[in-house]
Amino acid sequence: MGDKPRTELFNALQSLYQSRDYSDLVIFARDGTRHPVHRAIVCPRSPWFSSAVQVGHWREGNEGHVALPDEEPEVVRLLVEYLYLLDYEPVEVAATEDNTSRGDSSSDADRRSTQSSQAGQYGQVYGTSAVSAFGGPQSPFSQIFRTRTESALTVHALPSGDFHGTFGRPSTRTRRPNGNNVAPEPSPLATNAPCLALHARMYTAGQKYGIEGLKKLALDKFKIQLTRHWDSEELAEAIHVVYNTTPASDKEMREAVADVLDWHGRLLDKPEIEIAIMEINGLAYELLKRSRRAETEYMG
Amino acid sequence: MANKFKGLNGADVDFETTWKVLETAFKEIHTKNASALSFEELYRNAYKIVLKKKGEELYNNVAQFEANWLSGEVRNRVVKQLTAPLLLLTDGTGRSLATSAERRVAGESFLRALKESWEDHQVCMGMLTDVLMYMDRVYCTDHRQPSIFAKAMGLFRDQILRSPVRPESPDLIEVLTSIVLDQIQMHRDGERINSHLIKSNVYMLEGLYESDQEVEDEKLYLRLFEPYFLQTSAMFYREEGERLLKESDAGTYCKEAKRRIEEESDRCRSTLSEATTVKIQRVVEDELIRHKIKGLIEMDSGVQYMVDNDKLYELGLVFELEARVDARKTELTKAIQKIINEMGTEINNVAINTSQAPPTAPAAQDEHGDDKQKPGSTRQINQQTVAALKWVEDVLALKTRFDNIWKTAFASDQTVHTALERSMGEIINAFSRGSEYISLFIDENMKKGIRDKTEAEIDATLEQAITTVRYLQDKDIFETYYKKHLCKRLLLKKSQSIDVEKQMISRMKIELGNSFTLKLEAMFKDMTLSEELTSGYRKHVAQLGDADPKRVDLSVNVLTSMTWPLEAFRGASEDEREGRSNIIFPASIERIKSGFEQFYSKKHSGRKLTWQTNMGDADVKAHFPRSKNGRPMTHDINCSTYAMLILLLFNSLPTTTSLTLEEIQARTNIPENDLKRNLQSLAVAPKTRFLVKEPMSREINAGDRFTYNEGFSSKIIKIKVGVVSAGNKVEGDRERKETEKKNNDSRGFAIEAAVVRIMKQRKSLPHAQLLTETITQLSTQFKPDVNMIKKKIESLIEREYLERIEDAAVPSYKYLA
Repeated sequence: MGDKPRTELFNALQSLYQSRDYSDLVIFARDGTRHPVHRAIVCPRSPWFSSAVQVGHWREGNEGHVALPDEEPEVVRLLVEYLYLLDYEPVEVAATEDNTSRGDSSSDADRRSTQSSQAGQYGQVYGTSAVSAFGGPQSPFSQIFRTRTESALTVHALPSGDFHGTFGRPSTRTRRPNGNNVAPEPSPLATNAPCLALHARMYTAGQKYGIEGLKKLALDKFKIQLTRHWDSEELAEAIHVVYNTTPASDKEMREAVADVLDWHGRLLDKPEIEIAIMEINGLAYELLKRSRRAETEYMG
Repeated sequence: MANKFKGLNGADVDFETTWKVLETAFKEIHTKNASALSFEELYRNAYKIVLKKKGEELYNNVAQFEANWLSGEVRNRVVKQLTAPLLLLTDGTGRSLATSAERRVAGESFLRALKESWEDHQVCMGMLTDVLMYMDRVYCTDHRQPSIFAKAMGLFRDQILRSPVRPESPDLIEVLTSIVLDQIQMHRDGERINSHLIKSNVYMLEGLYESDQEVEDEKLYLRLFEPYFLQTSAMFYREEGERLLKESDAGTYCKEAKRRIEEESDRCRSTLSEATTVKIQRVVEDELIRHKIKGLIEMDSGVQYMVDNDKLYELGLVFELEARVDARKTELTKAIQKIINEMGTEINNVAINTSQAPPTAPAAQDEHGDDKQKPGSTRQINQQTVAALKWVEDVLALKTRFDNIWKTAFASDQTVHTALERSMGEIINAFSRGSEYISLFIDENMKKGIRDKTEAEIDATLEQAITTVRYLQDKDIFETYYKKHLCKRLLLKKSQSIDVEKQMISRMKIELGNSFTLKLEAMFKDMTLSEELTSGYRKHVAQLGDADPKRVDLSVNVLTSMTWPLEAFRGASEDEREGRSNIIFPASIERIKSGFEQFYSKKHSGRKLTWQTNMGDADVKAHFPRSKNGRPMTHDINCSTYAMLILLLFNSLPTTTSLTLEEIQARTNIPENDLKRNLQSLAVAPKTRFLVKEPMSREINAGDRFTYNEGFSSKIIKIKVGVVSAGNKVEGDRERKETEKKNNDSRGFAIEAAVVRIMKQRKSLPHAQLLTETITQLSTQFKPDVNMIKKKIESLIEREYLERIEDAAVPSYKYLA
């Protein structure tokens, strides 16, 4: 197929990402981790970076440093990874030991490079985004893709844009014609570590730095992780991140959260979830609407 | 646990404190002092305020900040540049109080200040927009507010442009408009201005809208500048146009108008906006062309003058100008048509006058010796032939002249071409003898004109001829004349080249159609067949073994009756029909005649040969004893058949015996008129006086006596006896009447045939429609006269081909099978 030139481009980006040759801008995370990057790669992808380093405007551009003191190191690392590789892969922390993925040493360079070299094949490096970005039948996921038509991934197979406006909330897709709510099967794509809060933060970063593709990817990953880790303790934190760091008009993450709470009623019994629902007015209202709609559907 | 996530939504952010940070930074930005500011910090602060749902407060604060900045700092900076000569511009007094140089310099500083303020504002708002990106994306989008950038542009409009310069004064934008208009006026007057500065201000006006909704056609430029620009321009060009019409000639006017139009286009490109190009062109075109073109064309130095003096370039300019405003070029076309019409009418009048004038220059005819002794009417006819040729040549020259104008000056424009063609057609058809004259023109060329011409020249001549024929409405009349003229050329062997004749026919075939040339081609066929027949007959005679050396040689042209207009030879209508058959031939001739008749009827039994004795000619050897300086000599005489018959009479007589006119007539039975004419040639014309007439006089009268001219002398061996009216001449009045009558008759048949054809197909038809269809059907042949059609319909009703439908709503007819 005609994929070879494209493969070459991605390989080049990957090698740039690994070597950081010719970098002309340094991004600093909260903990001072340096990420040398290329303006030519970063700026066209993000209006935020493009504005920040515009010639003659701001300190960042003049000094060649962009400090992100509010961002967690892992988020910065994955943000940069995404900008180069069109995907990001959180470092697997032993899931059983610690359920929160906010590991202190997750930006360790050794582990990172080991992982990227292990994941040399495209399908793995680009993960779900390989499906969404190039999602042809050649994709390694095509098998799964075809059989699991109800999975969160199908969102991408459908035409984007007005989808929600036309068909109502995405949750209606998961309803059978008889109106019963059925939770999706755990996805085989889900990783061991829940990473729910991390994906939510990545989504927020996409929003903050104006990177639409990242938002979409984070949303997908978030949903995939939810299929398996809905019961994780991280859910409460993720709910807070979603509701506090994205604007109310930005519905998709909120929908995903509400869906999970809707599908798995017993989550409401968890104390940290209860607190979250009580604190976040919007969420309580969302759940109320859902239960009402389910009723009318059942009646009708 | 609950507090663990408190920091997430920026609950710890204090709006006032954060805003102070932003405000300070914004001031730095506006004073071009931003390079030490951290984008990330500013963005983060704004981001947190928006996350905390204080987007609206932030938005309003920024707007207020900008409003204050513009009304305080920026406005003062701009207004300061408004010096006295500029302020008075708006009420029109400024122009008189300051020199243009003063106004220009002052205006430029103002324009520069405004341009810089605007550009600064753009840059600063660009930076603010970057910092407030999240507010724009979240707050403005969700609350349907204009982006902060658009909002700030609106503020610039309100705080700077739409604010009075000082209390009770006009708004700044009015001052700006009048300054720009003033500068443009200077430019039109030939001064240099800084168009770049103006262009920058126009950019500004194009980037601003009347409302924050930014509706495309509500740009300030379109609303507050352009209308005034167009209005003052219209006034300027109205005056300039009037002045130019008074002060300069048409050519200069055209050049000036063209220059102005181009200048305004250039101005739009370099100084104003391309969006105005079409509109200002329309204004200039209205004022300098549309409203003035008539006056321009009718100027003393206008189109008439240009045509008279071959000012093709100027004509081109007029065309170009009018083409801008009128795809049909109505005025120019009208003017040109009028000129063609006048010139054409002049040509027609000259032709009529020449043909009617009495013969003025008989001396001119002397060189044609054989014309000398002929009656005056012949000379007049010749003069008319000259007039005919001149007419065609003049018409062609006229056409060539305007074709040239059309090609060179009018860009070969199709509409103009149609009009020119119509005018040419009108003149040619306005001349009643057009058909005859054109045919004569061709005749003349076939006989003499093409003699020394190259093939290309001949081609050009033929093309010219066809060109004129193309215009003729009454092609049937032309056909009549052409046939007549061709007939004589063929039979009298006057044509220079049968090849060229045939070329002409094939051109006509292309131009006028098959049916038109059918009979003409038949004539050529007859000629070819006759040649074969003659040689066949000669062979036949040779085989007979009749080796009589005195035997008369014969060559014949067998002409299909109806195809050939033989009346062409008959001269003025003569009742010779019965006389002709009774011509008395001498035995030697009679023998040949019957010999050929036998030969012919063997080949084509059932056909009847009629001898056209009035048309033939003969070669006769004549012996005169004292011809060559008193010594005998034999001459080869070529003369008409009748002349031969007359001469042969004297063969059998003693040289001194005379015959009276009456005796000659009795012995030959030649019709009186022909006889007289031939005797005139043989006994009066000085070079061919083979007979002596008594008494000596020019006219042949009853009782005149004729004797063999023993004393004839001539140095020339071959003598051709002039045959009266052998050539093609313009018709006399009587001939013309006859031609017309015949033509009307044949038209009558054509009309009747057309009516019957139409009715047979349609069965019934209203009167008006029948008329139209008849005219359409016949239009390739001639333009039928409506009255004639009506008469023919009446006649068809009488003969019960048609009948009136009694109770029809409109007069209608029915076809009776």
